[in-house]
Amino acid sequence: MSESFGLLLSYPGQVIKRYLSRESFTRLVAIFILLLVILFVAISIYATTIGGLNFISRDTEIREALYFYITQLFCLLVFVLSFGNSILVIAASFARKSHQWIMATPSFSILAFVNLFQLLASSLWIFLAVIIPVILGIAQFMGINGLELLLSFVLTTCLIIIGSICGVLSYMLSVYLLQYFSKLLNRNIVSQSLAVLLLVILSTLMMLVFWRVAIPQDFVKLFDGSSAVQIQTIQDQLIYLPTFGVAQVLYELLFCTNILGTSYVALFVILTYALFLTLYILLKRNYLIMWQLLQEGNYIAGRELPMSNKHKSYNFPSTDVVHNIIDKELLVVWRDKKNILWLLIVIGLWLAQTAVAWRVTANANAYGDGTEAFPNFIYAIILAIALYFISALSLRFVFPTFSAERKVAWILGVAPISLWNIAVGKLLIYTGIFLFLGTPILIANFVILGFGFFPTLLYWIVFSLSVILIVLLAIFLSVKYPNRFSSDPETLSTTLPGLAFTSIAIGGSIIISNIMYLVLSNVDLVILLVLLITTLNLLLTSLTYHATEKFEYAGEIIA
Amino acid sequence: MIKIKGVSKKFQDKTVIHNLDLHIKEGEFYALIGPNGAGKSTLVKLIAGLLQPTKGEILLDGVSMAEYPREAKSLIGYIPDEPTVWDGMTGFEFLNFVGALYGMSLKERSQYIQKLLKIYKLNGTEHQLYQDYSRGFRQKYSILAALLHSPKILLIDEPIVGLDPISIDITKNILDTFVKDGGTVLMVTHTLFVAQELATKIGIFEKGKLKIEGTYKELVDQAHLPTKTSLDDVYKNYLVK
Repeated sequence: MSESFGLLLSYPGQVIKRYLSRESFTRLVAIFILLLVILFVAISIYATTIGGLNFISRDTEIREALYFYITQLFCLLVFVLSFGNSILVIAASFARKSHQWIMATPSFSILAFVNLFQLLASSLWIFLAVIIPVILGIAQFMGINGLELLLSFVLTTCLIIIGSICGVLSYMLSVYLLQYFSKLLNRNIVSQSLAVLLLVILSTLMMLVFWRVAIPQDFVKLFDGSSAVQIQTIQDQLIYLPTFGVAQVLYELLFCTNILGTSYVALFVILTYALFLTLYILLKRNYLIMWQLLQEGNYIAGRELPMSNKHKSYNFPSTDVVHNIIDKELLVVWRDKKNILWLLIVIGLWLAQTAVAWRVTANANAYGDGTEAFPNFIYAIILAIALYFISALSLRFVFPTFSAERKVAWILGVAPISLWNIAVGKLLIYTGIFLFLGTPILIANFVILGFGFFPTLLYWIVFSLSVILIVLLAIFLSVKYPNRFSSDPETLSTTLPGLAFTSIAIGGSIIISNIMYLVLSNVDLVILLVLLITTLNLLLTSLTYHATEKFEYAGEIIA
Repeated sequence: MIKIKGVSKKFQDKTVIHNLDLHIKEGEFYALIGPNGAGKSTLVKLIAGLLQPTKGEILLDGVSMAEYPREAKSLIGYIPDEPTVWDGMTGFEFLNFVGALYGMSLKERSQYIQKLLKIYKLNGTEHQLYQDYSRGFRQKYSILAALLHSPKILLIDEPIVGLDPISIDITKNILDTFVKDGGTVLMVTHTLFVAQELATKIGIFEKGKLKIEGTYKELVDQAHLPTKTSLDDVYKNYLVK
């Protein structure tokens, strides 16, 4: 048992070792460049945090309460991100057919531990990309000491683990609920799709509760009175959030340099450890049953399929290749419940951000301040947020597109069509979907925030070209560096090209938004930016075209 | 019909196919047999245009796969060893999608698909999702997809894996009729009784090289084995050598 533990856990290390054993210099350079890009993204978030705090600190009347409120929202965000991330990882783990050989051995329960390990490893990005730069930014701004900084990191790590545990427990709960209803109905209704659907409903309810609690009807009332009164009002409002306690201690550590928070940190560490242990025991006991329940759909052999399973088939009316690729992508994305869940989560978060903008503007208008009070960089932040969401969607849907199709590659590979046509089809459909979903939300944000028609138009042009750029980058990396070992989008997003895409897309989005903020007053410079993005689009198109010529659409490594 | 001239294929530093010359005539049923890892599937993938040769040329009915891939591919029907299709597609959608990729009109497809479904008695299953099909059902749909555009050449990598005995007979009939109608087949298989029964020529492939080829009778004679020796024993005899 312990040997298999070691073997499974040493696997990632062996993969890295094998990766570096060939073309070592080139690959080391690639890793170095990637680290530089990640560093750049982290520095950008760090600088934004310091810039934001500087801006807030100018308002002496509300700054203390605002620090407190922001800390609460920050912890809530980390919790939601960890919760969502864990659901995706655990759902993928139960869907993984490649685990069959382990599940058939007496050591099957080690997968409970391996999955928890994978779960935490997959949450690392939240720590690296969100927590470290934000907390370091606050630490630098507030001048807190090393111990408080360390405790803040410990506390936020606990928060990630708690969020992940809640996600896994919710998933298990939804499966057991389905099993319970199966017994009541005397018919098996347990499936990945229904479990995910149930989770969507649970998550939507949770988000609605969070929204109701965290975003007040009247922001001005929230920041009424002295600092102590404001903080008390916010505490009364937010006390129902699951992250309230952690956020309270984090605020004490970061903004009040209150070392008394130490004992609370210890308390949270013990709580996290207890929760983790409970989850481990639960998973160890139930992993096999859960896995069996969720795998059943894969073992239908020979019997007549039930009529209720029938779908209305689409008949691909066109004979045009690009048209058919577009239709196929739409069909496959639509029929995958996990894809839809992902889309709903991202669009839901984006709409939540839009609703916050609406609530803040409504408050400003109600108190006669109007939207003129908003600083100009708000609009650049809105663009950066929009491009961030597009990057997240591209990472899930576009970047894995060629690698995820490795096992079905033979269908497209043997057909008398060019790979370039397939790439064009994918570019058109994903750009189309993202623009269709993104344009109304972006414009709604600008309208809510009282941005003029002409600057909104300029921002929209830059947004549209950037969407094409992000999708093209994802397609280029997918064709140039196809993964021949995994079809799983979550796994693919953590490969070197996946990380490169994330870093370049987010880094590029921040740069473009920042340039827009700097040059908006000068239309000539905006046109220059538009030309620059167009040139990059043309360059990437050409690179993708050449990459498709060398692509071997043969699926897995052979012989 | 299939001409392979000096083809080699290297994966990184490993050569899988060594300077291979092979000629399969029109109307021939060629079975390629050999041990695991011999490079048989790689060869079929090279001919199907899924892989690019490191060296050499592949001609299908005189059309170069490297220079005119679209024309060459339109001649081929390919049945893979693993019949994986998008889980979210129904069998009907898969057949329609494949037909559309080969430029078949909707009307043409609709008629032909209904005809093909009857071969394996698949009517009534065509609107189920692929994720709900068993291995055998998937194999049957991939065989039908390969036949849909009436190809001149069939490239088959293990045709009967997962099929029940009745479906195996149907498959053998399909292949037999295909060759009788003038089609050319290259089949890679470990199921030697099918090769012995159907193939007009058999090649034994080992370590990326064609060790020997000929009709079943020629292989038996050259090995100085009794006339009724099974292909199984003939194969073992050649590999021991």
